[in-house]
Amino acid sequence: MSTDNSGSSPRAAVPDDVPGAAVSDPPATDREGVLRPAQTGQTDDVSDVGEERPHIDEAERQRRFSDWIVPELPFLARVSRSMSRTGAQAEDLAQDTLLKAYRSIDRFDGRYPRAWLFRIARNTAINRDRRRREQVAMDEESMDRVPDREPGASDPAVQVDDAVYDELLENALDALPPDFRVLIQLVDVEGMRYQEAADLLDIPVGTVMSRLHRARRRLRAAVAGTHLDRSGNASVEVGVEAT
Amino acid sequence: MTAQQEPSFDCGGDLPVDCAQVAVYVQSFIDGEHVSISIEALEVHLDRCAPCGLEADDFRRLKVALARRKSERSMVDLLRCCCQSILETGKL
Repeated sequence: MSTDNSGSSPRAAVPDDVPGAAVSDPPATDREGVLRPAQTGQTDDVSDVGEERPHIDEAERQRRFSDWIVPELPFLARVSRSMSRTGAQAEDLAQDTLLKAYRSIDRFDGRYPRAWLFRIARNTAINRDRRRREQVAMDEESMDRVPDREPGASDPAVQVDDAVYDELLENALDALPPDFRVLIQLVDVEGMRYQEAADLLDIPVGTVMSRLHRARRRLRAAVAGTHLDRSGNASVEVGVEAT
Repeated sequence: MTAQQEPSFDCGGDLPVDCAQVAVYVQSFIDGEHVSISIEALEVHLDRCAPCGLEADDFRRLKVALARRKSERSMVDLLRCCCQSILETGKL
């Protein structure tokens, strides 16, 4: 867990990773609430632009945080994973983002909390990676062995791509019929074998396969645009979508 | 094996199994389940037939993303604890 020993009051420490109040302008999500790469605030507005900050008391700060930020924890977990190389890094990033959000929530008007959180997380990740590179660069013995980007760390475009993919997947999962969704949960999330899932649900293995495969084709269709577009193969579609 | 829908194309190559068979078995293959055709022939097809290979890649990515959800769930639990701490003390 990340720690913060500054001892400063929440209002006193507004980190420079936090976008200013302007982040609430144009939605960073589409009408389904899905973040789009072109709308995720790919700017460098990591500085506190110094706009006037309305005073809010501690109770109001807590209320805003509870109402606006806490419901977005699953989203924050996903984007933090997509921006990190390891689970521990993702946890640190998410925690740092939460703390910065709490301290800066007086600068946020409550519109599009996902976009706001995404930008804090992204800026925090950028600064984290920069600090790491600088630290390594100071070690002369290591310099020749350090690549520009750590192995496994993806570039920002890929990070956004993964975040969008996960968001589309989340929505597609919600749209699946319950009989399909439960099999995705058992086999793909929990890692069960077909036979185990069949035994648990008291259905034939063939039914497990049929439902699972059809469910995945639906999910695949829902997320197809995110990365296939990048390789120019979005039109490639094998098989007919089962319904 | 439940009948699957056939693919809308065939690569037409001189491959040991055709695209229709691959469409039936590719997901079970990725899941590490039993498939009743030659694994080697399936792998050769996926390697040489671009559309089928891309489809397999899609299913692999999907599976990885879904598996990631399990760890995300525990991460959300951790973050809830963090939120509680932040709300009570203003820090982590």
